[in-house]
Amino acid sequence: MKHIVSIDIGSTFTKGTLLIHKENEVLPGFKILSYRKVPTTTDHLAKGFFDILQSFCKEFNINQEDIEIYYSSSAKGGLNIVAIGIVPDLTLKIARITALSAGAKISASFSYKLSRKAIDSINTINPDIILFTGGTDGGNEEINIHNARMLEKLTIRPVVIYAGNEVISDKIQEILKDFRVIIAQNVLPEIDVMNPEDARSKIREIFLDTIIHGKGLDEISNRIGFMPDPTPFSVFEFVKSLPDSVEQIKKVIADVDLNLDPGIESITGIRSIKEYGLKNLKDNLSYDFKNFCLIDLGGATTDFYSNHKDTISDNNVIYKGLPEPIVKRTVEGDLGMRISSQAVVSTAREYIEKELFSCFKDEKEDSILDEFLAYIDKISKNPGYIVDFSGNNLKNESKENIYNKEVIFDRILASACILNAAIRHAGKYRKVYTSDKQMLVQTGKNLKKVRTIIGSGGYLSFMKDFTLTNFIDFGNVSNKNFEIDEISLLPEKIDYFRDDNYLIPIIANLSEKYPVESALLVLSNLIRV
Amino acid sequence: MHTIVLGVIGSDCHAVGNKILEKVFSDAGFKVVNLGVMVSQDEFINAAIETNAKAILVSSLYGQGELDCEGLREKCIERGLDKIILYVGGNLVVGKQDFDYVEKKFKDMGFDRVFKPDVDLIEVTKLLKDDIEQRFGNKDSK
Repeated sequence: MKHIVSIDIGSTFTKGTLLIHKENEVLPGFKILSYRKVPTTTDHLAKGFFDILQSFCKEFNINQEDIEIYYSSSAKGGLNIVAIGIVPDLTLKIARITALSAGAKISASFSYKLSRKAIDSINTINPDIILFTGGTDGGNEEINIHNARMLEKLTIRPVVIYAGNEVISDKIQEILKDFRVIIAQNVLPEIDVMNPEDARSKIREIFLDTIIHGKGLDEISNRIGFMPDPTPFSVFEFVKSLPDSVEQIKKVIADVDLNLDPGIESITGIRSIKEYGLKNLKDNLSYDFKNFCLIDLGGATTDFYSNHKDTISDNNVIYKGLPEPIVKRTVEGDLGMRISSQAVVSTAREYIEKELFSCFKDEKEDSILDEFLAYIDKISKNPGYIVDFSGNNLKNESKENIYNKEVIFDRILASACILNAAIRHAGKYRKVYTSDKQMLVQTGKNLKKVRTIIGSGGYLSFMKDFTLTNFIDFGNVSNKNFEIDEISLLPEKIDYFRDDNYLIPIIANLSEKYPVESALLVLSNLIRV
Repeated sequence: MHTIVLGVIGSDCHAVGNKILEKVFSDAGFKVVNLGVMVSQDEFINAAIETNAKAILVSSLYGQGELDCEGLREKCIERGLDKIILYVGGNLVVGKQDFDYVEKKFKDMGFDRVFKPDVDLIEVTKLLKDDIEQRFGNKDSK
């Protein structure tokens, strides 16, 4: 029996859990012993981390040396990348996909030739990494060489990862000799071949060996002996490994009718799933976890992940653009429940007004809008604000059931974030009339056949009454847009699951080493609503 | 090896000739970037920029080539491909129009060469090699 601790240092809270690993069962599994959540100490990240670790040691009388520790961090802005490519739809697009799949935040991206103004703005942004791409192998050289000469003028010295036309990588290194330049494989070696993996792992290496020092994480790594992953990197790994793990679990479950331990008992700070965990697990296994989406709706961003291999079998559909990766992450910096709530209003004003006016039919439109905007003002200044939900029933948004308008305001905000994040993640059909028939041109990823959507993040995990299917009509979005010859390829029939207890980010840390155990725990804890 | 970009322009989904072109030009020693059918002007240009292509070969079989090709040369210049060679071929217009007239029309649009549907493709590969050498010089053939 081995003790394991997983800690996630978020921008607002540092969360940790103590688990035991049980090897001698038909299926290895975890059992959660304890859970802690403390405010992140931004000026000294190590404090929250060690407070949690030591409290676990004290509570269960164990030595820190005997514990296996995993941790991730998204504190202090996470991993900040500027992406450079040539054509926006080609190399720049893959550069962005690469950076996001490595768990980074893209603070700016530039295409074609860098201007003096672009250099000024990179100086101001002061990114951790510049991901420098452009050209297929043997392709464009001129623009990259221009861009290298421009980057040389930077007053800052971020790490440069060059993942463009490999023919000139020596030359790029020579021009940028004052920088630390890491050469990765070209993200677009051929015009229709995407190759983000090597650059992605180089980004991770840089994050681990350089960047965490600037974020004050080195104190932790010095004492623990190793480095954290960026939180979205861990979640990406989890999303990638889940289908295989579920297959393995299914095999065992089909063989023996074993009495699995659901892994969570009544623990302070976490809801017990002892009573329903096993039933949950069995129920959930009958749904599709080979193809699924995961939404992590946070205070500042909305992260949208999908794991789905999209194959085109329809003769009337022609695919255009770069092939989409099977596992994909997009992150929206203008969609979030608190810090970014002002931005949500400007992004989705029309949608918000429509929802608002239909929820509050009896009220004057101007006054309810003013109330809503005042609420947004309040929460964006106070990102820790939590709405008092007691006594309200969100399942039926009638006046009798809702005493606190803020409950509905938050719900509308959440819907707006999810809907827009989904539309941006998913691909599109465009109607095209050819000489003999109407065809559909597809760009991006088709999620129409994906049924399983997992909702995670503070709001989605704890707002029990929020069900995606009740509040967001993906079908309606698609149909509405079809009139203007475009349709969003969003899921048509949805099985929605809530990540009860907000376990996914913290369990995701363990999924690289313990994929099956992590899947088992997460699946027992997912509640279909 | 010279890189060339190949595709059927517009809402045209005739795929067979496109495959033949890919084979012939690859066999003749070109590095062919084949964008397939229903290719927009921007797709041609995007691919040519990233791959540093020397020529764009546009096919059109469904009679609406004139509309689809209009402005391609200007767009290439606008986006920095001021030297690129442009070829076009196929059933470029509807009905029986005089080929000299069609050729002039497409040359006025900025295409370097215009081909009938029954042209000998081996001849075209030779013309293309010469044209590339003339415009870009011999040094570039790495």
